[in-house]
Parts: sequence; structure tokens; C-alpha cells
Amino acid sequence: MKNNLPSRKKLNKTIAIIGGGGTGCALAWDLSLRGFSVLVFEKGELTSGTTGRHHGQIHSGARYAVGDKNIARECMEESILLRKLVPEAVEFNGGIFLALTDEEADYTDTFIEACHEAGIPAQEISIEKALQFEPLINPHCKRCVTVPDGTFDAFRVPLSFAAGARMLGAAFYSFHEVVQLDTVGNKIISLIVTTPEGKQQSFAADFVINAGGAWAKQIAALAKVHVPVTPAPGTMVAVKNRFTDKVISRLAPPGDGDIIVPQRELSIIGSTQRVTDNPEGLLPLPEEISFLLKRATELIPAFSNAPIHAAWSAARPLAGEGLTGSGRSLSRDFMIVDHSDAGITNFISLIGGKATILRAMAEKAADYASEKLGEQTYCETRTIVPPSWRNYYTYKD
Amino acid sequence: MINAIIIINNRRYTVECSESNTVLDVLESIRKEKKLSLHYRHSCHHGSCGTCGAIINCIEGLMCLTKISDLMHERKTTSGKDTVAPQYENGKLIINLEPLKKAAYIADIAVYPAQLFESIPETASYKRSIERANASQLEPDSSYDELYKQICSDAAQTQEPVPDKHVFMKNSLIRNKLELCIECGLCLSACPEEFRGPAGLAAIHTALAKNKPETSTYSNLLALAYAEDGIAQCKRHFACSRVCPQGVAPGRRIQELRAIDSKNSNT
Ligand SMILES: Cc1cc2nc3c(=O)[nH]c(=O)nc-3n(C[C@H](O)[C@H](O)[C@H](O)COP(=O)(O)OP(=O)(O)OC[C@H]3O[C@@H](n4cnc5c(N)ncnc54)[C@H](O)[C@@H]3O)c2cc1C
Ligand code: SF4
Ligand code: FES
Repeated sequence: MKNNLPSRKKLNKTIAIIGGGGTGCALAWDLSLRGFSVLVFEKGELTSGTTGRHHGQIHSGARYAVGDKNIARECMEESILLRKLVPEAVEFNGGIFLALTDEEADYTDTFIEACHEAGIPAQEISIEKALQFEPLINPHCKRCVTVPDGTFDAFRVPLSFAAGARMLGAAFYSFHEVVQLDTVGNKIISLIVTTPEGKQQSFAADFVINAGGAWAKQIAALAKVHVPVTPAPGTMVAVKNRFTDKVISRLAPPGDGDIIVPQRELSIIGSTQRVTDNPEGLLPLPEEISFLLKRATELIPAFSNAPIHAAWSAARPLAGEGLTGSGRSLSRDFMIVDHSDAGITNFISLIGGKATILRAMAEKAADYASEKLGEQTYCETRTIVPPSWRNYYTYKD
Repeated sequence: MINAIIIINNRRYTVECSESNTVLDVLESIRKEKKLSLHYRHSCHHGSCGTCGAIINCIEGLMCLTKISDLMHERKTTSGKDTVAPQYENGKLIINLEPLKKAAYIADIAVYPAQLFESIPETASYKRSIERANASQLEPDSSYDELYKQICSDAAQTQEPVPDKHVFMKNSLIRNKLELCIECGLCLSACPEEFRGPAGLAAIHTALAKNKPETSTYSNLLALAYAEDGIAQCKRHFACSRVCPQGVAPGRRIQELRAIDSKNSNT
């Protein structure tokens, strides 16, 4: 693993990224390593959208193994990579899935088999052994399976990528909202942005990538094109006690309130899922909080005795549309939408996915953008270790 | 329901909110309902990222953890001596928000915390590894065997060094945690002195414990603590420890660094 940043050959092409979440930050790092000039516009602080508020689980993919082997495999690969690339922002302690009902106990074999098919080393262990590791889990569970899940810092992982991009010359404009995309013929020629002082400023770019997550539809609409994305809010509740070091999940198909993630001195239960039009300013509903606490108690009986630390909501950027209800049927996979079909040839949107696979999403989108720009480049984010997130704020242009 | 007036930068926003809302919740709803541009940093909404610090009715705090109800009774100021009483205007609670100090100003209450991050040495690791109390009873489960194989085969492809198997398996029994300090800069803002500041010195204190005294990392860290802008400038106000949302107790750590200082100079 290399962690010096050799000087890059410059390609003399500018790519503008709209959205400074995990996806935008990882893209900025990947594209900067390839030699592109990169501009990132984020309407708030970096990761103030969905990314900063996620559950913090670095997914081994076990949760998705039965439903979608490809996503599961991708999570496994990426989680190993992230642990090497940003070790300082990952608490890797593994995870345990608990079967609490007879039905869940029956599901265990299917679950383990699916994990193995996806390359995830899931392993059944005895309840005694599970309790040795994590004495506070429900002792009445029926079966236990360990998987290589972990916890990561939702803010510091993307910021490390942003720091790397910045050191390679990428310009980050936080508190700059893109309000207009000017097109001439079949191309976006400039982005009009509101500065923190409330002025409008224009930036030129050769290529534009919409990494607006749950906001991607509104951003695409600025160029009169469409992105199929459904904002699906979920709520999480943190209590003041670290009950376990491992991530504790329910051994069942993905549902609500079935994962407890430890973070520093907290334990966090999540999540719920509904669908909405506007991802802005989401607040948790009281019934979501009581539901989550009840579910958490099933996994860790002492959970709801601990004082509540915080409750919050964020919107998943689910790729797809036309949903009502919970939206759980939509895939967690990501999607590159090329707006050429709608008449704009230098504009793509990158949506969906998960924070765990942010690097892989960026790789695919950067490959795609390079090809469209007629540049032969290759991805280096698998092996080059980005600098610390602290460098994002200490770096001087 | 509470009626409140949020004051930022001489702009006033009248809102209706619940006592259990956080200050951040209220700002988020102002931005959503009133479609206003309002600049503040936020990310995790649960006291983990450290971005949402502000001076809330005269006292440094995280907006995501400060509830409206917290602002409805008398609170001790950062000096520890005085108190601030809640203020009302025509029955509406006043919530005055100011940006943190010792950070570059962007707009409203958004700042750019370069000074804070410069104060934390690069060699200060953010990870803690803790041996489990019952480590001797535990053995790594075989999923780690598989994981080890996978890591080796990845490494073979990229020609990277392979971790030692024994070390890898042993590490699987250690509890990994991130450091307590969330790098929020409340302590730096509350401290009336100008120097490296509490967060940076607390980070040095934590890092010293992770490095052996004979290493150059250790002596370089200690040199930073001794330097002109180091512990000597601390006047024991303890404002830092009063505002720290994570119980890092930077004030106490600075005193502990002084103890290392005198130990070293005695020998
Ligand atoms: C409840 C919940 C729990 C989750 N838990 C996990 C988990 O444990 N593990 C995991 O891997 N994933 C998890 N996820 C998924 C993960 O959080 C998301 O997939 C990921 O964060 C999306 O990142 P993004 O960068 O695409 O979107 P965002 O982070 O939302 O980034 C988009 C950015 O665009 C900005 N923006 C919008 N409009 C404009 C504009 N006009 N101009 C400039 N900027 C603009 C927004 O402010 C925002 O910051 C969870 C998601 C939810 C909702
Ligand atoms: S020591 Fe406490 S107040 Fe200071 S930056 Fe760290 S968490 Fe914040
Ligand atoms: S928003 Fe992360 S600490 Fe408040």
C-alpha cells in the first residue's frame, strides 16, 4: 500500500461534481488521481446530506446475501479495502447475526449458504461462545452466526477521500449550492452557484456528474433531465451505552429495527424506512423511536434501559421509482444514468448504493466519465491510501 | 409546543418547536419550511462528527445534542462561576446562536476549523485498541481464517505485504474503538487563551500513552507539549473541560502533561 501522493499527469479537462456526500468525495479522489481537474459543489458542509447521518455499519454484505449476491460480494470486497485504506476511521470488531425465533433459526442455513456463495466467511458459533464475546446479547437466542461486519465513521471516511483530492488540486466549494445549469446545444457549459455570501457565481466544466443522492432528481431537473431516485427516510436512535463491540443483527431478511451498531461509547439501533418527495429537514417520528427501542430490546435486553442520546433521520437515495410504502423492495445497488439519451451529452448521475461501496461507485462512474471524455485512464483508489481527514481542513491551496 | 426566536447574525426567525427538539432540528426545519438559506455545519446529528458546534446563548455546545428544554433553565457559563438565565421576549424563548471562535468565518454560524485541525499532531492516532478482560478464554472464530485467506489472496494480486497470521488472529480478539474526542473545537473556542489549545494538547496526551517513551514519535509529541505555544500557556480556566461533550477532560490532561514534563526535567 502506497501513501505518498506522486504528482499526477494533468489532463486539462474539468469535471464538476454536484454533491459532497460520500459519493461526491470518493469521485473527487478517484478523478483527481486520474489527472482530471475537479470541482466539487456542496450546498452545506461536506456530508451534510445523507452520508453523515448513516448508521455507520461497514457492511460485510451478509445482510444482502440472500437477496442479492452481487451487492453482497461487492460489500465484502469493499469492506476489506476500506479497512486498509482508512484504518483510522474504522472500528473493525466483526458482527453477529442472532436468530431469535424458530422461523429465524430455520432460515440460518439458507443465510450461511448465501453468504458463502457471495464470498462472505459467515460461521455459526455456539450461543455460549457468542456470549463470551458479547455477554449482553439476548441469551435466549436460538442460533448465532459471525460475519466480518464493522463500524466506520460516516464523516471521517469520505473526508479522507476529500482530503486526498484536495491535495491533488481538486477545489471543494462547500456552502455553494448549484442553482442553475446552463446548456448550449447538447452540452452543459456552466454551473451557476450561490456562494455563502448569497452571490451567484458561474463555473465552466467539460463534464458534470450529479452525485446529489436523495436530491439527485432536483439537480437533474436543472438541466431538464430526469433521474429515477426515491428518497426513503430512515430513523435511528442512539443510547448512551456501548453494549457490544460487534455489530448485532437480526438473522432474518432485511427489515426495520434489525441492526445495532456500536460507535464509540454509544449503541445505535436502526432503521426504519418510508418514502418521501423532499429529503430536506427530516425529523424522527415518536412512533419510530418507540418501535426501534422495542426491537433493540429483543437483540440486547438492556438496550432501552440506557438513556437516549439522540434520534435522527436521513433519506436513502434508492435507485428506482414509482414506489409507495416502505420501498424495501428497491435494490441497494447503484446506477449510472447517462443523460445523453435525454439530449445532454456531458452529464451523468450516480445514484443509489451504500456508503460501504462509495469507492466502487466512484470507480465505475469515473471509468464511465473517462471513456465519454475520450481519455484513457485507470483507477488507483484500490491501492493508494488517502491522507487523514484532518488534512481536509489543514490543507492550504 | 414552545415559541422561540432564533437570532443569528442579527437576523431573527420566529419558530414553533417542541421542547424535545434539538437546536439543530429547529434550524433544519427553518431551512425546510421557510426555504431560507441558512449556513451551519452539521453531519451526523448524534454527537459523533463534531461539526455542529456553536455558541448557544453564550455557551459553547453541539447543536445536535442541545435540546430546547436545556435552554429553558439557568445554565453555568464556561467560567464555571456565572450563570445565564433563559430570556423571553413576549413569551418567546430567545435562542442566540453565534459561530465558534478561533475558526475562520464562512457565513451565519458556519466556520472553517483549520486552527483546530492544525493543533492536532499528525502522529496522533484516532484508534484505541483495548484488550478484552476475558481475552484468555477467547479464541478467534474460524471466519477469521477465511478472512485471512482472502486478504492474502488480495495482497498477492497487488504485491502488498501480507500480515502475519498469528498477529492477525490475535488482533481479532482486541476491541477496536475510535478515540473519544470528536474534534468539535468547543474547547478551543471556550478557552480564553491563545495557544495550541486544549484539543491539540489532549490529543498529544492520548498519543503519548500509545507510544513508547524511547521512540522519536514520543519525544516529538512531548516537544510539542513543551513548546512555547504548549502547556505553559494554560492558565487553568478549565472552560475546555466544562464544554467538552465527550468527557475528554482536556484541562485535566494538560495538567497530566505538566506532570510528565516535571518528571522528565528531574531526571
Ligand atoms: C437510515 C440510513 C441508514 C444507513 N445506514 C448505512 C450503513 O450503515 N452503511 C452503509 O454503508 N450505508 C448506509 N446507508 C446508505 C448511505 O448512507 C447512502 O447510500 C450514502 O450516504 C449516499 O451518499 P451520497 O453521497 O450518494 O448522498 P448524500 O450524502 O446525500 O450526498 C448528496 C449531497 O448533495 C448535496 N446537494 C443536494 N443538492 C445540491 C445542490 N443543488 N448543490 C450542491 N449540493 C447539493 C446534499 O447536500 C448532499 O450532501 C444508510 C442510509 C440511511 C438513510
Ligand atoms: S476535547 Fe472535547 S471539546 Fe475539545 S475537540 Fe475534543 S470532544 Fe470537542
Ligand atoms: S452533527 Fe455531528 S456532532 Fe452534531
